[in-house]
Amino acid sequence: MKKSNKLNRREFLATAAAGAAAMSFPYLVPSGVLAARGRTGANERLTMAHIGVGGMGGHHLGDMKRFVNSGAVKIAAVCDIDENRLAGAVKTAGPGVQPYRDYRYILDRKDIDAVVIATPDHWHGVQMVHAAECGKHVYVEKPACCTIEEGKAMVAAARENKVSVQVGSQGRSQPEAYLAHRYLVNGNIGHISRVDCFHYPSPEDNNPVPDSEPPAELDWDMWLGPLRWRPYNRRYCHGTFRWLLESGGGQIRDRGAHVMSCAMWWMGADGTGPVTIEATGTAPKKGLWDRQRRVDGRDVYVQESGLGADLEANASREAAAGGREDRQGAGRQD
Amino acid sequence: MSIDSEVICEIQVTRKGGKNMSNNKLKNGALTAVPAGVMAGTANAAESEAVSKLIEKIRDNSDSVRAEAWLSAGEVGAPAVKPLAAVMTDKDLEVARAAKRGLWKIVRHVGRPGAGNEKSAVIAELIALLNDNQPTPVRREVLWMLSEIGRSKSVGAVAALLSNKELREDARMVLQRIPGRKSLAALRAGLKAAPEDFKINIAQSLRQRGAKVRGFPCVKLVPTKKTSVKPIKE
Repeated sequence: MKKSNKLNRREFLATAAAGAAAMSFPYLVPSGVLAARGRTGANERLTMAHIGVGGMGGHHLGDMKRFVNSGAVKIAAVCDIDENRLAGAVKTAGPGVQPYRDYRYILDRKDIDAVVIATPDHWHGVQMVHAAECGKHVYVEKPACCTIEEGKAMVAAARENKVSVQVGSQGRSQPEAYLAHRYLVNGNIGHISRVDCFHYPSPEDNNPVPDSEPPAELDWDMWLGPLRWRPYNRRYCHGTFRWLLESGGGQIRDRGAHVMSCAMWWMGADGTGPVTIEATGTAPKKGLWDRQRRVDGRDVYVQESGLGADLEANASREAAAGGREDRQGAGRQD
Repeated sequence: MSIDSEVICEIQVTRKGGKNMSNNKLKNGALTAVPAGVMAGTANAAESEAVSKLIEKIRDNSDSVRAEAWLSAGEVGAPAVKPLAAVMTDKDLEVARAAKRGLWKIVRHVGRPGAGNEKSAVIAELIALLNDNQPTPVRREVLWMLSEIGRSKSVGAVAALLSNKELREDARMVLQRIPGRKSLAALRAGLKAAPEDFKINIAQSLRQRGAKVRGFPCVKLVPTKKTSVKPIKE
């Protein structure tokens, strides 16, 4: 097709603006500011901050560096309540990245577009809502929240403040999950009426220790945040928080966020909630960790089709001899 | 105490019925009161035995026995509250933990619908544990137990702890959670009496309860914590 010489409205405005700018403001613009093929311009580049940079937060920071290297993202700040972890994050993030102990300083900054929240679960709801209220887009680690009320507040805050929020349920982002979804949604095995999820049980606290003074590098009060105050315990902090009900909830909530999320997707039950829930569990015999060690749960959903589906989540099977990762999954059809 | 309450109820029914009783029936009523007294004694003995067994199992060396004990503590109810609280400070970490979990089991058991009498009895026992003779960790735990099952009658004892520097923060959050006018009034009174550094916290609780408070803005969203970690220079 022969290209017309006639300018359309968008091209005209762009040309006119460029001409006017060249005439009125004869200064040099650094090349990094302008977008080019394969390179994001400064206006499109997202300015990010990472809240919580240990464990999963450390992985996210490392991953984000790839986007920094491609010019799509700028990391402006990192935050953690553990000074050792924060110092490590500063090294990973590189020059010019501002460290903070208190995430509220990050939310005060106008130049930050979005935050990655990878703190312990009990902080997710509070920090996500607060970030949304400050106009930041959010990537928040799973599980999204500890209570239904927190979840409702998070959805309301995202809608009210018109920010994008993604919950990092990476199990759903796996290629296998998509392939399974495609296989099922194309009707290869017909209507799904029941899905069984299974996972290895939560561990027992086999090495309990008494409460003690927190280490010097840790701001224990800030770590507790919205939880009620309790003394520091070495078995209740980084990583191990997920074995307590108030801050984690065990495998059924931690790994269940991956496995059950996939199952809901495949059942066509996204955007719905369970009609009924029942669960039983086995209490721990000793130690600080108080969540149920083995949990068998059953949720009943109404699918988009209007048909019902059972989701049986089971975090109670012992690890297989060949490796526990072999034993997790979802998607048995009955 | 649940069993006592049931016995008292039985006696009250007999008395109420006695107003219109014939002499013969009155005699029968008097006769039934004797077995009721005997029954009360038997019930008390049964309670004591249940509590003793519970505490014995809570102190057992076996993890399984302790776990079985605290899981079944709920039905033992109010008579076990004080003995369990005493074991909460045991030097054996696991024994102390089992006692605490047993106490929480009782609180949740009596928190079920329709267990009014049992709940009142447990609340009374818990309030008694808020006195100065108890260690602070026990009182703190008890406060939070009252936050789940406490009623207006609990408010006075909880409000008294607003002046205790170690427990005031727990106390004001418990008052925030106990429904009713009395807890709201206690928070209002607490705001007037509180030192300046604590007024902000009580004001926050009052706002959470829907009250209007002048001044003392919420500081939860104000950053305060500084780090010593320095950025790498560009």
